[in-house]
Amino acid sequence: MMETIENMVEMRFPSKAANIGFARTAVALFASQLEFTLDELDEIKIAVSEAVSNAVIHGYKGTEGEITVICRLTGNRLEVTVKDEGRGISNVQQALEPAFTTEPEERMGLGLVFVREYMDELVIDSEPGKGTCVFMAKSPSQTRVHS
Amino acid sequence: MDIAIRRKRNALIVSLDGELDLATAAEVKERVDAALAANAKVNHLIWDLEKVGFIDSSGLAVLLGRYKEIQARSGKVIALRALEPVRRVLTMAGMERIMQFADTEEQALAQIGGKR
Ligand SMILES: Nc1ncnc2c1ncn2[C@@H]1O[C@H](COP(=O)(O)OP(=O)(O)OP(=O)(O)O)[C@@H](O)[C@H]1O
Ligand SMILES: [Mg+2]
Repeated sequence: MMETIENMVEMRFPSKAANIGFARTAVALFASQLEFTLDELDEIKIAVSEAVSNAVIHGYKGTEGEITVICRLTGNRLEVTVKDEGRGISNVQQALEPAFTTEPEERMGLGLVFVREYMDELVIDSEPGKGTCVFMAKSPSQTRVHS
Repeated sequence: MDIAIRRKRNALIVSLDGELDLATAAEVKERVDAALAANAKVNHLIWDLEKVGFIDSSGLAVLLGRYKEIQARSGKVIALRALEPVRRVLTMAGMERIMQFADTEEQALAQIGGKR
């Protein structure tokens, strides 16, 4: 059975660092339709910030391209997809390893560790030269309060 | 991002007001590095994070990078007044191994010792 999508928002913006704050705040606002705690909304903000930053830093590295963020509510679950059409990841398994980074001078390789820690689900689909699609999902930990 | 930097004894106190992410990291990095270069006698760094509501891995990289410079000067790095959400991120990243936390400026100055 297909799950009904109760709500959906799609954002498209150029890969400028200035848009990262907008993206994470917008997703957190969208997520607040569910019973997430403030701590959980902070976690969602970090996860989105990491995925969008990665698209800016690694996906488009020095060039400018388009980033798409899609948020969905299906049942009691938030799904967020962050897509870029950048250089892609040749080894996704390795990219997920803690402290793995292709820019060891500048970065710590923590972004995807945060995403994994803070979201219930993380799936990365990537093809070198084509782009990267990061899918994440999270449900509120507290049971829904019916009004 | 509002950045205010002042010197107190042999410490630099950097007060940030804003969200520390990729959009603001470069500016903070440049300002603090310039202040460190101009103050060769400074060997401690105090980050006043009272007005920082958000930090992610790009922000952590800024803190870590300055830690390396302070380490070379045999000093300490202190996170002052870090709010709970920011503190959680710092802890999760293992930053308590390279910086101490303080709730007041006096406490921070006491933690770096009485050297002047
Ligand atoms: N959208 C993307 N496009 C291309 N490569 C990516 C993308 N996202 C992640 N990667 C690759 O995966 C690696 C690990 O990502 P991760 O976010 O964990 O660390 P980082 O970005 O290198 O460092 P940090 O997040 O701590 O700043 C990156 O170094 C990069 O090589
Ligand atoms: Mg990253």
